[in-house]
Amino acid sequence: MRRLFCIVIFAIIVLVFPFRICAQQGSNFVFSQVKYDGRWDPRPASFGEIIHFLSSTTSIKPELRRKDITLKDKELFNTGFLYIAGTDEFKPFTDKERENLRLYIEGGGILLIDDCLGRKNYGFDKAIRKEIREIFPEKELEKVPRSHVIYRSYYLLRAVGGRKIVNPYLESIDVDGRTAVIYSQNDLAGAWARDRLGNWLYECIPGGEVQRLDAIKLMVNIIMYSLTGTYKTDTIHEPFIRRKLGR
Amino acid sequence: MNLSNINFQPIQWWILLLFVLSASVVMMVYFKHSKGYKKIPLLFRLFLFLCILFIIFQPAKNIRQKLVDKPALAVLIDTSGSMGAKDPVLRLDSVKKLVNENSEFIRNLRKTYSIYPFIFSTSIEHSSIEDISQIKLPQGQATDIGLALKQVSRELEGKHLSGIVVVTDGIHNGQWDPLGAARGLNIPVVSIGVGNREQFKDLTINEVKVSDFVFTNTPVKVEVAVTGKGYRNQDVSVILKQGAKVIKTKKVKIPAEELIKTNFEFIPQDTGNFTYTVSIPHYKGEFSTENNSKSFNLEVLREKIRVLYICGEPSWEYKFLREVLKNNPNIELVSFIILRNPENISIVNERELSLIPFPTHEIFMKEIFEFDLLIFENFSYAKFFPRSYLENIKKFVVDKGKAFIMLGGDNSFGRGGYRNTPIDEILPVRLTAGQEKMIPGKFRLKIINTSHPIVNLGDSLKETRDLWNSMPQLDTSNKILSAKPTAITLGVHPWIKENGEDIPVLVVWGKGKGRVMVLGSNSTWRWSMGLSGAGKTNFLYNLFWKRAIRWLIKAPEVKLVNVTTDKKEYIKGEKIKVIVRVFDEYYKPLANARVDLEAINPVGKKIDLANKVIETQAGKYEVEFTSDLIGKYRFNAAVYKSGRFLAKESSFCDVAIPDVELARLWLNEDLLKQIADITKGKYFHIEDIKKDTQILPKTALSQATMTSKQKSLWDSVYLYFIILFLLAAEWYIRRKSGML
Repeated sequence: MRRLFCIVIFAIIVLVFPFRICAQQGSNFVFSQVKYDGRWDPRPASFGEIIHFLSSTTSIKPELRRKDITLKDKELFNTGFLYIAGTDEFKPFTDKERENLRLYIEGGGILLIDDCLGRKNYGFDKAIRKEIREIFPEKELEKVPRSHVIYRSYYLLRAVGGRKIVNPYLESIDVDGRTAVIYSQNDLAGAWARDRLGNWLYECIPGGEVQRLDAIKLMVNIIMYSLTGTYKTDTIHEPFIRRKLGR
Repeated sequence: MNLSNINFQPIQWWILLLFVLSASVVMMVYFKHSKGYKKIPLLFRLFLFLCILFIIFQPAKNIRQKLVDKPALAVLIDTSGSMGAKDPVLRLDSVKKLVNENSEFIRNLRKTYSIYPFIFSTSIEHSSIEDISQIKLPQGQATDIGLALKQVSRELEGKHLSGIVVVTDGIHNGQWDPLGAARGLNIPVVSIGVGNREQFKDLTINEVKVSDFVFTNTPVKVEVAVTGKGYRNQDVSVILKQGAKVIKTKKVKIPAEELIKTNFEFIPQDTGNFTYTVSIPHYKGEFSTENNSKSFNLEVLREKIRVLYICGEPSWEYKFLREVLKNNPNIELVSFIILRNPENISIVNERELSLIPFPTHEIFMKEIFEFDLLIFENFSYAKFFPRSYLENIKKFVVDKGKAFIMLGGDNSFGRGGYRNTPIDEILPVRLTAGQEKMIPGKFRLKIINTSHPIVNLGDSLKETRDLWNSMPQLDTSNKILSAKPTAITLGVHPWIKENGEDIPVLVVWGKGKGRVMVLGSNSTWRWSMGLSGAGKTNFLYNLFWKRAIRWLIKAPEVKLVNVTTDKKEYIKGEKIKVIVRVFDEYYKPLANARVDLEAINPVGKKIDLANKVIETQAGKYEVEFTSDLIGKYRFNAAVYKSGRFLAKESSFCDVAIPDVELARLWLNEDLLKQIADITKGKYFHIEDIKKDTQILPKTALSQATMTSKQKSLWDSVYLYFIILFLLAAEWYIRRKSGML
């Protein structure tokens, strides 16, 4: 009887005051990843690396837990950054999921798409491009110009990285004058993945460790961009950046 | 007796016929049945019928006699705005020279007539020759000669009006047809034309178009239309002035159609209300200079609100708020985000980082006063600059009247080390000893002062409450324990309390000359995202921040005292309504306030209106008074509540003569001649009237000096005695002769 009473009290605490046991979020950076009907988490070992790297090299205070959310989940609108990755073709999103994703992007959220397979018009790339066309039929993914703030939001980047280089560029869609959808086909997360002993899980081809470092820097820049927007385009930064780039 | 002098009352023919027939039948019956002397009563009856017939016709005799009094003469003086034209002499001065107690003209008229002077513009007004000579500036808003003629003939009815003298420039712009009015008169009108008779040449500023308000350092376009009658193909200078200072001068060539439009562009430097004038200098041969200029008022607002945003770490709050600020064309944003803390490591050379040094000395010791609003989000100063720099932030708010916002976060308030610093002094909340706790979890901000402009997002207070009840939740807040005594708490945490009191989340106050806002969370970006998730736009999120900034920088629409007039420009003589709206610090209308209102008229005279102010509804105070001078009226209001001074505000309006008086200024002799012809009067130009001028035609004068009256011939007691005698005599004869 006493045991039953304890269970009931615990259930009440969990159900009625869920916020008490949730981690603090506030305006902290939360790495949110989309769960969908398919192989949605091909690089599970990368997340911890990204969070650790962010907190040790930047002032970003990331939440230590990744938030895995479906596109049906209203939690979608509690994050400003959404990551979707995959290797395989997946079951098309429902209309509701597409609508939610569109509202999320139009509402100010950033979507980073990472093709971890890295094959054009095949598997994940084929499926996700179709979904993007469905969500934004009037828009197309376009190459991100090298002058874009993404390449200077924290690191000054001269090249894009990844586990492999399928496209030596990023692609993006702008919504209301803001780059809101960023697509890397180079398996960004793959370059971050380590095993439990700290060894890199995947070799970066063809550029090796330089290419890996570019991938790490690019991921940081994209996250930084999702938190600071066009901050690095402000006039005050211009002379410094120009000097550093040797222009 | 001359029968032509006898009038008979017209009667209906059938009454007369009926009477004659009845009388004839009675007489015939009597005549048939009476013999010899018995016919005598019939004679009496016949006379009786004739007497009655006399009464029915009511005959009266016309008696004409010469008047003992002088005939009346109305003198109408035009005092409309156009009579203030100088061509080259002020028209009204010409009139005053003609019409004054010492002038030959008036003295001669007085010999023959009783003079009834009137002034007129849109209607007539009794006056005197002395009063006319005292008029300084004609200020009538329009001219209605037709109405003036009608009104004066009605006004002097029964006073043997012999004629009307109308002294005017003939610029009729009223509603009544002057020729129609002249036709309805049976007395002569003598029209005296005032104004230059030479060939008409005139330059006019017809129209000036410009926005009501503009921004400093932003080009302002002024569109000007110029008419140049008689100046075809000539170059004319058009000058734009602010007060007496010439801003720009342009030369325009008057085209064949005599109308040209031109533009001025200038960049105002200072904020405030200014009067600008577009004018044309006086050109040779020009008819009048009265219409050579036009003034307009311009409210010059600050071109951009300069915002300095310091953010302790990259955050979505920064990113979303940055977009709000960047998308507002009236805001110039300078921001610094701490992207890397001293304890962070770097895997690359500094040259590969886009980081820039944080120029704290330049910002907080030199540039800060160039900004209007400073935002600290989740920023702890201690790592970056000494505490002494914070003194300047206090000065920025208290002395310079600027605004400061502190947003929540791990490094804000006490957690940011601000306790017992100059920032502590300007914050509207008490910072606790040590670090205040963070309250994790999502919560919906509970708004407790919906009328305050920062949170009053709806069209009504009910709508505002509903909007806030449906706003998306915030996440995590700083546990600020209490607001300072004079602070205004706008929003609280919905369930966390300290000593039974709500924990404040959104608090504002005025500190010194400036204003400060505290928001104990840096998650308002969730309003934007959450609204989007609900299929709505982020309008309310944008509106909240827009309102907050407008309130903080004391934008005109969020002042506690607002002085306005129901119109910006009035016509002279119109009633000016001054409205003073007073709000308390919660922006609720403030009833029973004392409003000391004074007006300063165009010649600088102060008019105390305080005793005339009426509170028409809670917080709305009104006063009406008549504008009697042309020019700028300024209104100063000082508001007190329970003896405590609240605020002081000013406003102004312009009083002008209507453009209709200036649009066509030349003497209209044709109209005045036609009026004279129709009424068999005379037309004179004012310069042609000599000492011995015969004003009214002789026939009119002779008619006016005679009067006629009617003497009733039937309304006599003798006639009634005759009728009585005839009836009595007939009765007596009949009785004596046994005919009864």
